Amino acid sequence: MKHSTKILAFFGVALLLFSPLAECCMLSGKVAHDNVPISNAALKIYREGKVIGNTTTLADGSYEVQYPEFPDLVRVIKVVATKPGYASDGLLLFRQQACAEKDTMDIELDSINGITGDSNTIFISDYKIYGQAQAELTANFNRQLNKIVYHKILAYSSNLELKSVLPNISVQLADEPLDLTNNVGIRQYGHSRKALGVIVGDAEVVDVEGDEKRLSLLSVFTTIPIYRNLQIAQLRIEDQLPLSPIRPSRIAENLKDAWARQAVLSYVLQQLTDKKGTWSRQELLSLNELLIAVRATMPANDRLLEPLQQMILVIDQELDR
Amino acid sequence: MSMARSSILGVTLFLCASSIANAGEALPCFARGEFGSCPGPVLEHVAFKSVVLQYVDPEGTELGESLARLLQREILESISDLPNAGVILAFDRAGEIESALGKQDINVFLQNQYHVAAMSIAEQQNAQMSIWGTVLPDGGGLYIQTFLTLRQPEDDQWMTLTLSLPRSQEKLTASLGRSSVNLPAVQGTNAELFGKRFYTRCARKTGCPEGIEFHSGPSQDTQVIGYLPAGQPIEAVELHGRWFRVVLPERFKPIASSEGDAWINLYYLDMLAQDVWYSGLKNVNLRSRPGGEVIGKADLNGHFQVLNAARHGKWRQPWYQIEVDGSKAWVSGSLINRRSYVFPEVHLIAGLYRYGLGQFDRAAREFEVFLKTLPGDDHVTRATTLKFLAISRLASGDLEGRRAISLLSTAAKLTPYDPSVYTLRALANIGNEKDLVGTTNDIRRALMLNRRDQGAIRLLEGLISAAAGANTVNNSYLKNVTFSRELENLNNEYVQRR
Repeated sequence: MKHSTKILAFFGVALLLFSPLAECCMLSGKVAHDNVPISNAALKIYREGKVIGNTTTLADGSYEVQYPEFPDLVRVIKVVATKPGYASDGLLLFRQQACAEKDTMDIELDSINGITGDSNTIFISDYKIYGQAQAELTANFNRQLNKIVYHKILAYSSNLELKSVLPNISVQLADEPLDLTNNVGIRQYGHSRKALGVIVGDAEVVDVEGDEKRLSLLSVFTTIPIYRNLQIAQLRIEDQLPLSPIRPSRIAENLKDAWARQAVLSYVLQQLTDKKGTWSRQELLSLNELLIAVRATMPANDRLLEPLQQMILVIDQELDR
Repeated sequence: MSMARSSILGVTLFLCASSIANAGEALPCFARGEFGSCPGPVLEHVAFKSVVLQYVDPEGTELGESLARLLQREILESISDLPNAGVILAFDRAGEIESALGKQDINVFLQNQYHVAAMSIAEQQNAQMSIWGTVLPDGGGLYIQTFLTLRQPEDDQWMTLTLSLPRSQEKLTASLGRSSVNLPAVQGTNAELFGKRFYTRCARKTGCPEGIEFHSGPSQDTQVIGYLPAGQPIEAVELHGRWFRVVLPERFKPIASSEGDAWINLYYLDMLAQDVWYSGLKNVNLRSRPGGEVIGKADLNGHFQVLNAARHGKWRQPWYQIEVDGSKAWVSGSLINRRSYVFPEVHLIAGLYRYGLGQFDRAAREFEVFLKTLPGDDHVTRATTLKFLAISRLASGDLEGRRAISLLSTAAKLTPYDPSVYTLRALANIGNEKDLVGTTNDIRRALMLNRRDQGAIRLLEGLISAAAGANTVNNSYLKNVTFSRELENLNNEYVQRR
């Protein structure tokens, strides 16, 4: 059940040094849940339904965002912070002036279903890009990658022929750096957040024929849930992409549905692990339907076919009991 | 025996309503508190419809509405000759999508609320297709993901293939088995995607006595800097909101000075093709102008770049100027086999319209073209399209059965664990080849993959009933002891065991 959203706002010091010539207003503050800072929360400012400013919270939950000054007498903005696993309503800010130099607003988020972690979430660690890639391009790449990967998973899962509801899988940026070579660290990170999977990657700018430079990438998808002896091996994919521009969609495109399939299978493993034998027949039938729908999209040589068949077998045995 | 797409409305629908031309409508469907609810049904007498929802735009590219409008216009163009077809645009000018999105995570919103809204609007409008998507920034470019969900109204089982057995009440059916199609993402920079040649058009009921207006900025509130008559080619540079920044032709006479940029609302641009393809046409009339005198004849095959385009005649059909053997000539747009679109999925959608309205040959042509535009390793969408193509061939009847079975076999190679492809092939086998062994093998495969597969079970039960009742010369081949025993075995092994 979704808890009623509780948002506590603290309007801080406003006013001071208002300048009618200012082109931008500034809002800052912190986003937290039960006094724990929420990093990587998306924060947007709306005016009359349009987004006029947005940012992402830092590791300590703080944010700072600029937005255009008020053009008319209707001096109202709505501030919304969102993060998977948390509920949020908009918070209104009324101004008496066209723009104050700096407003502050702290936002308290409620958890959904009482989950304070990130249920059904795949985390993507920032790709480390070595070589001559511009810092701004790298930052954009990392900021956009999780959204693109999410849409690949959504596109894939919406293609599954299901009577039951699609699994709700979200993708978000990991809130701490992860090392590609540290499998134990990656698993610990995933377990601590009850994640479906963790994607870690790095890239290097390499010279190819002539003066052309390309981005050589290694991406590793680690599935976190393990049910009895059922587990999915790490998916390691090497790739080369054009350097300019660096487009996150190229990674997602080149990986095709591999990540998405792995994400859905991780979801099934998570469900089996969570229930630990207390599932209802209907829950098992839904998982079975999901696996059959995933298999229906697989090519003959899919690497995930074997673990998937094992999962179907386990569920069939439970259903036949 | 005959194969047909199932429709209770059937022939009556096609004949009675054929005078209604294809149509587009736009509705605000995201009012506050009634998200996904439109003011009322439109195009009620149009038999086959789709709704195109404004694209979700979580990162503020400001292209959400214009992408949906462009797609709607391209779909309308692709079915311009098809009576009884319509496209409804569900848009949001009040920022309600953003507002609804603002309360929650984009992932949850897209997966649940927007998909539900898409289906709800399709339900309200009694539309067979719902098209929705999202647009995201992608390293300086754009990433546009579109989703297509098919809906089968109770009175029009258009996605079900039916085999009518002669002199029998028994009807065997197989469904396409897929109601969602994952369309390939469209990617590129704004200029790559929208820097194309368009043509001015007047779409106002009151006409455009002054011509089509150009503005100094991407807004109706900016200064009008001049006019051009309808039908003029315009080179677009980029799309910003609902406005194209364009390069004005030399003949443009400004009435006001501007900073150099000229903008036109996409509403006033016609989406004629940039490239066209012909398929082995002999002795095509080449004309001096659209509908003008014949200046020569030529065989046309393959790709041609469009030099100029125009509309002509009572139905405003497109004409294209191309270069043939070093000379420019106009050729009727009705002769093209394929044309370019911003959204390649328009071919698939156009094929579904034509299939749904009984134009099976034309549907097959659109599906074939869409297959050519698909990335080679998009095997799921390829297999789905092959199934659409196969049932179009089957529904068109006669000599296409074997070819359809071959297409289904290719689909089975691409997605060998999809039960529905075997159920469809089983029906095609029994209908066209009277292949009893192939039919039972395919039903067995489908049930092995999913012993609860409703399509395979329904076909199996239908066949058991048909085999038991077979008593005429035309269906006596079903009265085969081995076949009946195989069907019973399958029934005992999979259906009764449940």
